[in-house]
Amino acid sequence: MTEILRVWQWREALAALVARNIQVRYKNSALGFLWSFLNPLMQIVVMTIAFRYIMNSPIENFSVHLFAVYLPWLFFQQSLGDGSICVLENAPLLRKYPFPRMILPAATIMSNLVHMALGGLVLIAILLYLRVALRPVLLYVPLFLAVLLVFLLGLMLIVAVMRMFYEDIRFALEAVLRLWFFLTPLVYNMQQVLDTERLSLPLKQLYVLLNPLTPLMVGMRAALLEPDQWPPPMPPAPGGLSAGGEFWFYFTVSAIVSLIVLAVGVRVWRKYEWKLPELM
Amino acid sequence: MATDACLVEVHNLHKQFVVRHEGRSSLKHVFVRLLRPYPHEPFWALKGVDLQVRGGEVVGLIGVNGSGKSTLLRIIAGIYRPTTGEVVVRGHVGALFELESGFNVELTGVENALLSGLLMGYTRREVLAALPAIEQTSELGGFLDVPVKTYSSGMKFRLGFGIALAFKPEVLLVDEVMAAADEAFQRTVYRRLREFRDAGSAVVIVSHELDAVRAHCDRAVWVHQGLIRGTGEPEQMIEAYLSDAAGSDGPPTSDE
Repeated sequence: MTEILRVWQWREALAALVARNIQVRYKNSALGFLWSFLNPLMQIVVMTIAFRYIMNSPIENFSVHLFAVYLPWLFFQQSLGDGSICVLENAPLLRKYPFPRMILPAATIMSNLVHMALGGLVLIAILLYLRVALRPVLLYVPLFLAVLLVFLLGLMLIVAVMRMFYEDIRFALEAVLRLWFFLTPLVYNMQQVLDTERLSLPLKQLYVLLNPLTPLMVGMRAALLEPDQWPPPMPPAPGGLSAGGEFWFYFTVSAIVSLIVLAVGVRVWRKYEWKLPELM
Repeated sequence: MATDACLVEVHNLHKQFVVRHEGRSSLKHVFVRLLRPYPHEPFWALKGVDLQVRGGEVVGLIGVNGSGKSTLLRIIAGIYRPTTGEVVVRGHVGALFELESGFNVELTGVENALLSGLLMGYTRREVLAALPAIEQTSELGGFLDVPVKTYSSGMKFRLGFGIALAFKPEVLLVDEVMAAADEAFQRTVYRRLREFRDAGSAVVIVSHELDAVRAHCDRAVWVHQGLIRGTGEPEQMIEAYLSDAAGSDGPPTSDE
């Protein structure tokens, strides 16, 4: 809490760092900001061809289904990557000025939020074009994004500090993110997971329980694209614990895990934030 | 001007670093780490330092590489936290450390100045108001609007110097960065440092240029192996330091 207050007090410095991050990312590139749109669009086109047309994915409107969750996924992936080096990258500043260290990861998240928002404009345009029904469940989207932010910030703090100790984090992160992409229902949907007979029920439950991103992505996609079929499908909760419905059970687990990750992240960060310049 | 107020007070300051010989570690060391957790090799950079610096004096820290001068300066600046002991700084700090690496080379001089000022804790309005002073002190003119990647090291020094002085700090800390500046600008630097002193600021410089310490410091503090070995007239301290250095032939350790 005090941490948030301190970051708020330093909001002008934070804003300047965000502006710098955005400015520097596309410096010397002819297309500049267009890359924020081009990159996800190109990947979505290719993945649509691969999964929908070649591998015959049964998902209707595959590209839109993918886009709705690919944006937050890209945000997550990019932020975690940027976050892991946000300390190293700003070493010269850390070694010169005693500003609250938390504004570095905060700036990383915020500059990536700006990028996601740009992509979000495209998504909104597509949703309007498709005349997707706007239902009150749409209001859950900010909730899912908020949990995503909590989880992401926690992970980022841990990864950023560990990166100072272990060079391996760089390679491990790359590998883990690639696996994570396929272990989250992005290029397929939850119904397909439920339908497969190759996985036993406990495995399906574990698949959702162990990955806090899954309920968030499933929820976001459903709220945006299939509001009439709310709540989205989920495996039965273990031990019949799903009082408020399966989806909310798994969402609650995801939210609790995210809060724990954030608590751990903040602890790790607090312990090392003033030792960061000594570790370089 | 209250020129004799004590602006920097350091009491019984200890600072421990962990020496890591191989930099950031790799996976094979993780297992070693698990058995012998970090921190595994403590190094005491400062072992009980007491120092007072008053407004209106220029203090020079002298001593061999690795004696703890830079560490002391960084703790006063708030970059490192003391392991034990107490540090009180009254007033704003202006610091000149590591000029070469302190800027984002893609950004212009003005953009860097703005970011630096905000990270020093000043408001946007204060930083914008200080821009003319930065321009005047740095003598960079039109180069302020050019990306820093085109700067020479001397120009980076000028920019850093301009930023450090722009907010009229009560405590000015300078770590041997002077070498980047040309003869004429070095004279300007010392003139400006004296002006700050005369206006009541406390100035602490770390320097291996003993002639400069002799010429520009009111007091010299000899730091030796993490302790203050002596403090007094620059002439006397330099003499003591030199005769000690001549007597011992131990090689200097890495600077920290």
